[in-house]
Amino acid sequence: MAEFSLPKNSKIIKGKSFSYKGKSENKKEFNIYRWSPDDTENPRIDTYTLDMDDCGPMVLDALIKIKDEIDSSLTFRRSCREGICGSCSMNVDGTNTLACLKSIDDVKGSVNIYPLPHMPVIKDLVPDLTNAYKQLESVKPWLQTDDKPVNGEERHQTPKEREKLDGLWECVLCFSCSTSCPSYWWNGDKYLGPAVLLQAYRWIADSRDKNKKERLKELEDSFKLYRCHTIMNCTKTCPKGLNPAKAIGEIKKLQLET
Amino acid sequence: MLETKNKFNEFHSGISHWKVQRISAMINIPLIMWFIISIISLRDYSFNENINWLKQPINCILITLMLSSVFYHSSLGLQVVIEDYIHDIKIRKFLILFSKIGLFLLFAISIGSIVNIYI
Repeated sequence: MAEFSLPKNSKIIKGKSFSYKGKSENKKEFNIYRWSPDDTENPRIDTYTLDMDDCGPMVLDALIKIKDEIDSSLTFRRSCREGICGSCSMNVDGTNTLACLKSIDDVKGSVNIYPLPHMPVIKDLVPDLTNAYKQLESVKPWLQTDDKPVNGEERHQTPKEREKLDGLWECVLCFSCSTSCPSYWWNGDKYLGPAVLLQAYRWIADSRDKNKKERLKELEDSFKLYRCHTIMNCTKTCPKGLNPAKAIGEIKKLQLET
Repeated sequence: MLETKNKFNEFHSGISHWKVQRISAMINIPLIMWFIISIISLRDYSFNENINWLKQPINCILITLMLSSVFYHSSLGLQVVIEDYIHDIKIRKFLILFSKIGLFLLFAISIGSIVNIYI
């Protein structure tokens, strides 16, 4: 059965508050989810107040500032800080996004930051994505073909064929979409989720890949693909502006044709 | 690797189920619109006049088609809802069967009532 309430030790409690002692008028509160595997305490929300005149514009800038200057125990993933690596995906202001692409000014009032929903938490804002990576591996996200490229050159594509990959190759695998999908919340162990299905379609749509039929057959299953009920949270939340729901629709269309 | 097959045969073809669900939904649209318009226009008439309306072959055929399509679509939809939320496979299989039998009984009663008009 679906669980509708949290177990006792998962209930979120109010945590510490780090108030700002400077003189600046331009302040902003950050409420951040904290949980550590090293103790037996419940998850809590810590509140940090920052001087916005002395902070970068993005949510990730604020997190780095907090870690640097206020609380070094705050744990989160980050790398490129420009929306390319997909590491800093988290739930900001109720929406899954990349912290480095989310402007603090876009959030009215205090900024609430949680890890990606419905994933096991490793620590604070770091979710365990093991299952999602395994699912990605299961769709074989690499070029599959038997023939060798002519004269050892690269495999050619017409501009038209290449165009089909636009809106697919840009995905940075941050899993914001999959973790925003209720179907993935309830059946994440069997339903592949929008991120992985977009990747699956990225290879189905590639003119150089010769395993299209097999790929489509692999997905022809009531759970892997057809748990998608076109809720569209994936498309709404994607920090890169991609459309996983459309990719899923395209896979269904191709399956109808074969 | 991820689980793809198990002894309960939990996974079945997705595309055929998805296709018939869409087709039955499309068939439902005109039939249900016809039905709603009909019962609204019949609201001021007596019981016997309603029965007479139902006795006309065209109405009788359309309502039988509508009932078949609606109940079939319901059973497909309920199956998806049960698969979404019930994770215990034995309970899930039982509930799907239960919903199908239940809907079939309701369908049989509806058709029986229509046949009853002619007897």
